[in-house]
Amino acid sequence: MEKNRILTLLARKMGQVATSAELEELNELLNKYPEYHFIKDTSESMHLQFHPPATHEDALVSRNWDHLAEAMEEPVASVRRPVFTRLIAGLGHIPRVAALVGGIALAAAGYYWLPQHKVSTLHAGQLIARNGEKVRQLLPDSSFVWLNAGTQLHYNPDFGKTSREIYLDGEAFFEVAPDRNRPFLVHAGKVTIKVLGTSFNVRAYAKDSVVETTLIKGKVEVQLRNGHGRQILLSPNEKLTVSRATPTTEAMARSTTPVKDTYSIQPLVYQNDSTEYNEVAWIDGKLVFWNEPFEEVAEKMQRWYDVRIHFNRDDLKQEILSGTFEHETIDQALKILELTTRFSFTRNGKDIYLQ
Amino acid sequence: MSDLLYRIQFADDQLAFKELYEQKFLKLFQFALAFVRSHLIAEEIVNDIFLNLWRKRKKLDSIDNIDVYLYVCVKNAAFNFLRRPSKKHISLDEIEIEYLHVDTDPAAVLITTELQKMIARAINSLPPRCRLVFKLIKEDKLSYKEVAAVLNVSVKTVDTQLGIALKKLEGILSPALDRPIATYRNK
Repeated sequence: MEKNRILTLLARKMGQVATSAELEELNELLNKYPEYHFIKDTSESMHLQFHPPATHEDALVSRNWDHLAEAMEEPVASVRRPVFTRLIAGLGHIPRVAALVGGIALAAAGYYWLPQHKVSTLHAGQLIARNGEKVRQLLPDSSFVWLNAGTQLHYNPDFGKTSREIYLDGEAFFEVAPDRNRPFLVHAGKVTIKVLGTSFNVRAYAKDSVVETTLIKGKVEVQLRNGHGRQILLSPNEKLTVSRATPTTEAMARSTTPVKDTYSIQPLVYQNDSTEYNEVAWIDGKLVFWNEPFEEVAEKMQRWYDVRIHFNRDDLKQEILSGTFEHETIDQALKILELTTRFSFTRNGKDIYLQ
Repeated sequence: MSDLLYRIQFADDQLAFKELYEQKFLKLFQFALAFVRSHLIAEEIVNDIFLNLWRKRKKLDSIDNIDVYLYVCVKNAAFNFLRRPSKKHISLDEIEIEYLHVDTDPAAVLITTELQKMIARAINSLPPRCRLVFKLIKEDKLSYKEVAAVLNVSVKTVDTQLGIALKKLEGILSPALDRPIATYRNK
């Protein structure tokens, strides 16, 4: 049928294999069946994208180029921090998980970071992100994890084979590979999170009094250690906050029954015009704080910039701040904060003094 | 293109490398996205491949076709990411391909929203291989031979798949011509 011939020729034209004779034939047929102009024009002019139309393409490219340029600076045999895992077949083989590298990093960094952690026997898999850095890694089961600054993560020796268990102190974002036979478990202080295949963020710094679990995609089940085994199901775009239960009376402190942790679930909200939730903005290289006391913001900044912040004025600690830092240096960030909050700062290397 | 590759290999030219990156990133990112369905992971995969390319730039001239090479790297990385650790291989048929967004150009054809939705639905109902072929040929402008090499199929298969996609499109668009819900501009 001649109409089928049009489609065949159109395909060949698209694939850049049509001969000039075929192109002529196509034109003749189109003149004969002018309605096929519509089909030709539509098929030729429409755009096909695997990402949603609202994606800011230029920003996407330049942001990723920045990451790449940074990685290109690193010497190949660097053991300063775990590098990207090699995924490419046929171009040489590099171990899929830089476990050994992570182990060495721990030995080198352990003494000045998280001093309360003993450098004990190294587990089979250990990932560290020191203050001032973020780490991206592939786990042995093909799950992806991003570690925020000041974070330590380790996983059991046969991770992926018999079970998948993670121990977390800090903040990490997980993209979990589905595996029904081996649920993905994250132990983070007072909670254990059970996952089947999903994307979520856990914020559980040992020094903080809360553990936050933010679910982006999929489903997780959170079990509270001190909740008498209570399990909470989170749906996408929900955030669970678990607060350390502090005994409020002496009687409670002396009591032998463990005090329950309290928790709350909130739906996630976009703040201002941002395109991602505050809780996961750190993955895109943004330090975000929203209506938080300066003391807490300082804590975040210490990890983010790898500095030590000292308050010479107590009242400054309770000042409420909101803001986002992306490309600013620590000095620029502090200068920006100075604009809206009454304080001044001096810096001596990594030490910053606020008055 | 070959000028860029020459500069990268023999002059360690980072600006040339950046140009190459900027030319290729979006298409490769989308290709990765089709399989892994996560922006962050797709970005990781593409960056990883370029990092490796930079580190092995002294061997650039051993690559026959840089596009095929890069697309195959992305595909392998994506497949590797997706397969269970217990399995050695995963095939295209086991993978759920990301949704393909369809955008029509109002300067070329005027189409109602309704028809556009029908087109998008139709295209996404095509089998994964077909959708991929359509995208790679039409949008990425790869040739039959290149697509065949990337997806590891014959040129005939590529031709057939493209035909199926167009036939599907015809199925949606032809009836539209009988009814006044679509008009187009005479060029």
